[in-house]
Amino acid sequence: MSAFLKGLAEQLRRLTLRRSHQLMLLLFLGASTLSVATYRQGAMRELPVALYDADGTALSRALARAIDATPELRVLTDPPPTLHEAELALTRGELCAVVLIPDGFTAALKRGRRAEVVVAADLSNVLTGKTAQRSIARVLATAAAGAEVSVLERLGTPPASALARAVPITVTEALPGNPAASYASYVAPAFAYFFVHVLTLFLAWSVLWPPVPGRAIADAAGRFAACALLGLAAALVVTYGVLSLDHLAPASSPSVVVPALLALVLGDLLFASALAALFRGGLFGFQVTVLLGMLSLMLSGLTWPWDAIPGPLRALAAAIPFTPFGRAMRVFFAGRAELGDLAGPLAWMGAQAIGCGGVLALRGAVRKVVAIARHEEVPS
Amino acid sequence: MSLWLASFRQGLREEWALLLGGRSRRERSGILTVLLAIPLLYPAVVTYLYHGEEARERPALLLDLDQSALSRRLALDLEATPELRIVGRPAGLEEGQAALRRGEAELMVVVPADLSRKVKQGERAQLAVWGAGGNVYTWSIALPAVSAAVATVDAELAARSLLAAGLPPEVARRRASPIATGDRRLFHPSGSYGRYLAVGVLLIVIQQLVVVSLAFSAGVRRERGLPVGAPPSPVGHLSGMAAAHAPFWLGGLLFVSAVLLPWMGWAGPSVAATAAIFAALAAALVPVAIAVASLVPDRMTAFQVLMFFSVPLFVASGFTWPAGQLPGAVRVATAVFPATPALQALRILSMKSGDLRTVAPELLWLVGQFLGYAALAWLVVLRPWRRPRRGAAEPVTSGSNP
Repeated sequence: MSAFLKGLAEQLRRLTLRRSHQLMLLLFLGASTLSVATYRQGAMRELPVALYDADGTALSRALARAIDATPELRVLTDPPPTLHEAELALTRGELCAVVLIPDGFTAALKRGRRAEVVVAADLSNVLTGKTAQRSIARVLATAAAGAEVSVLERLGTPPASALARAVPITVTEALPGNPAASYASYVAPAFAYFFVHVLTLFLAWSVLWPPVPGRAIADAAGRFAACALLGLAAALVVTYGVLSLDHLAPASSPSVVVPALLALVLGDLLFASALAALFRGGLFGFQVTVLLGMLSLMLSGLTWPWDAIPGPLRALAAAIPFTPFGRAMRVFFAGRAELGDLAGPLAWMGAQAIGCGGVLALRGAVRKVVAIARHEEVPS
Repeated sequence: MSLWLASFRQGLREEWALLLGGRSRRERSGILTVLLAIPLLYPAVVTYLYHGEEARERPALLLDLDQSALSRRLALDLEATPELRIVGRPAGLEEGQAALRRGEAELMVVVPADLSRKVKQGERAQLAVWGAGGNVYTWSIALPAVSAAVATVDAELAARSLLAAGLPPEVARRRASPIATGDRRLFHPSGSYGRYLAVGVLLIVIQQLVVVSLAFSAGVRRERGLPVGAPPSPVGHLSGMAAAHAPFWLGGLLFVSAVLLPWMGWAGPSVAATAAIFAALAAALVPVAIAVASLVPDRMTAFQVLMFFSVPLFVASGFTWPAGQLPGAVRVATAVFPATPALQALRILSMKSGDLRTVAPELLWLVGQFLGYAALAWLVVLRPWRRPRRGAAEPVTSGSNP
């Protein structure tokens, strides 16, 4: 027990006093804060749009006002004077879309001819381009419904049912896990916990490298316990501190969140130890840990959907603790979950832990056999 | 100048010996692994991951409580959209919600029991779409697909109403869809996610290659008691070390920008212009790499510190989340990093224009950063404010292990 406590105290002292570790902790905090703060706004707002109204009628002016009234778009009061300059502004990214209402638009609509509005959106940035397209399409659909209603009323349909005849089916949407469809809810926790994951892997390697032959198991356990404590503390700071920058907090109680965070931290420590054992404690094992650690966000299914990830990469990602943790995180963040709701991801992490434990046991057995074969003292 | 050149040559020679020397696993420095793995392995994985470009066929549940001809028609339309894949038809709302919670589907379309009746009675019917998980990306694919299928049915039903009201069939169809949108999808017509994202990730890979490899090498040297920034010219010595890495950096950026990107069709109108922005970033990063290398105490610290830079610099650069939507403090914080102007220029060059003049402001920004970081590197390496230790015959270098 004393060896365990001694190892724990010594490792905590190293991690808090060594300058490179202090810098690492500081950068962890800075990186997670910067990434979370990036999405503070949550959704696209006031994207710049140039609108050219060649029609100049009450209807076209109403359309311009309606587009400007959407929270996502802002119609420039002083758009580029020519279409060529508008094109240059689109190329430079200073404009998100250009809307052209052609001459004769209202006349065509009144006469029952095809009335067209041209919308040129910059799709080089998929987020802004699609947001602009969707918002403009919504405004135009509303205007079209209004035109249909007025025709139906002129043909004798009662005003009470004219709208239902023009747009008989509507779609209501509900995204309970992210009601405002906010990018902050979608990606900020993913980035924040990704840094916790990377930090924990590095903390584990602060014990594993440089290798200390003959280190007592109790001493090593104490050192890993120190890393677990620091990793858990970092995860709690992120959960209840950094993420509040985006007004985000887990909907589940700490009695559910903390075990999930602890599972990530312990899983990462075991994962790094298994990789170290697999590569015989050499620095190559550390390089492989870094490689997998840095790829783990992209491969986790948190941003790019799991089913769109190619099979071999999915198999690789399935072995990284961050992948099942991502599933658990989505559950405990979105609603009031119980520990039972996390059974799937936690069982997955349990299976990973068993796998890592197997690698460590195998490595230990091989070392013993080799030592016996060489008539050496068996290392602990 | 001759002192600088002498140190440069010494750094270059030593670094080549370190890169290629060592017979056993213990003797090898591992620098070569870094120089090869970062530009080859990371880009290969990223490209493989996003080669599908877009996540289609989102798994959806369909709960048809109406079971009418209209609801079956709607179901057929939903199944026909490439963005959706109906993976199940739950018997009830509870069963569907449980399946969503288990992650068996990403959304559930609920057709109400009174859909057909309401439409026939001239009342509005509501179709409900439930999402799961809160993934905005997949939601942005699936929801418009459902809306488009419903809009098509809506237009047909409206045309029928107009026909019943006495309009000729052709006029009724036109009146049912009175406004057409002439959508022009500029620069990236497919709107795919792979091309939009992966190019920027690859630029960050090159950033990490330049900074991490030199820092890692400095870490190796310090662990082995070899000089980093040796006299007579510490900056010259570090520049020589950087010069030894330069062929690998150049090879890496050429592999990414002139081979991988064109092969994937992601290079943009001009491969040369896209490669030029990769090269400009690498050049701007050389003084940064020199400054960092002069401070790194060991191999592990090189990774521990530098790996925390890649993700925030990417997400806060304005490449994915537009710069105009970033908080002011974030914009100021990221303006000092070369990745920011480089990524903004890359967005233009990889999709919009092959003309480097279009990105002249970003290139000037990079030149300014290069000069600023060169001055900073000089200060960091020489640390002129630091007094020489008593009895030290040689000028102070950054070779000591901090």
